[in-house]
Amino acid sequence: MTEISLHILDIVHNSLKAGSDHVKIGIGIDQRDFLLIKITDNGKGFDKDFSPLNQSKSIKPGIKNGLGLILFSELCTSCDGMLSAKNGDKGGAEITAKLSLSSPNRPVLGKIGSTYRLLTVCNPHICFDFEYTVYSEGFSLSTADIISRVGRDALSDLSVGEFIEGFISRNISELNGKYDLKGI
Amino acid sequence: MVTIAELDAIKEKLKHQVALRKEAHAGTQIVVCMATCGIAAGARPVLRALSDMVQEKGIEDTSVTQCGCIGLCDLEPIVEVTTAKDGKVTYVKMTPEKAAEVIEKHIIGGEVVKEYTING
Repeated sequence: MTEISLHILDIVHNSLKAGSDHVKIGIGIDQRDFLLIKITDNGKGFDKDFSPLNQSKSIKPGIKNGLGLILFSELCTSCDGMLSAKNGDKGGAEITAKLSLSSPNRPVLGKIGSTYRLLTVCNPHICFDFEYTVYSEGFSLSTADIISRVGRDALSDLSVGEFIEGFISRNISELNGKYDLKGI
Repeated sequence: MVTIAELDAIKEKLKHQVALRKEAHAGTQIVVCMATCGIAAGARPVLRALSDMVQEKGIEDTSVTQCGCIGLCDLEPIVEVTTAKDGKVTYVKMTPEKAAEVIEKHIIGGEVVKEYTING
């Protein structure tokens, strides 16, 4: 995958497959210049005898082990970071990824606005919360906010989709610019 | 900063339009495979093109959704189009340009674009 936002799109599809109707996507840059990504959902979570990052373990018949988390985990490790995949305290899955901004192996975050837009527009009955933080400053967007302003039907309108994508990409570049972060 | 309040202006414009509903039981279904293999092969711009065109052209009774891996990873990005007339048609190795053609010819025109199908 050429962008981190594609990995995020992939991981969020796992959440949808697990029956979630509320997915939170948090992206942040911390004081030590690590890119932190956290995806939490309210789906059925991981089976207790299933280790999502261990490809060599024999799997129960009928359970398909995908490659998405493993690929993302490999990427994080190669960027001086790590990935953890576990069940949240209140159920659902919790994926946390950490990558060093300065690692030469790190792909760009990429078109995260496009990722969020497609998730929202193509899954109008799922609530997606998005948050982007640089150090301690950030912004957020939630499907619930959008629906409360324009109604659920309007999610299928092109102008709303364009707004969502523009909202995220412009605010991200503004924040990154403010802290002089380049090549995120 | 762009604020969410800017959506209110869009809402005003939308008031004059009839909303196009995209329900799961719609007549025509366009399904894009969005598993790891699909995404890595470029499914996101394909989904984007399909979703935008259905909205832009105001095509009614058509849903654009996603599915997981169907086991044909080397043929990704894959798009499955199901219509009442032709049943399920599987398009393989799609690009946004091919997707636009499928919308024009198959969804609007009713003619399957044979050369992009799995049998093509």
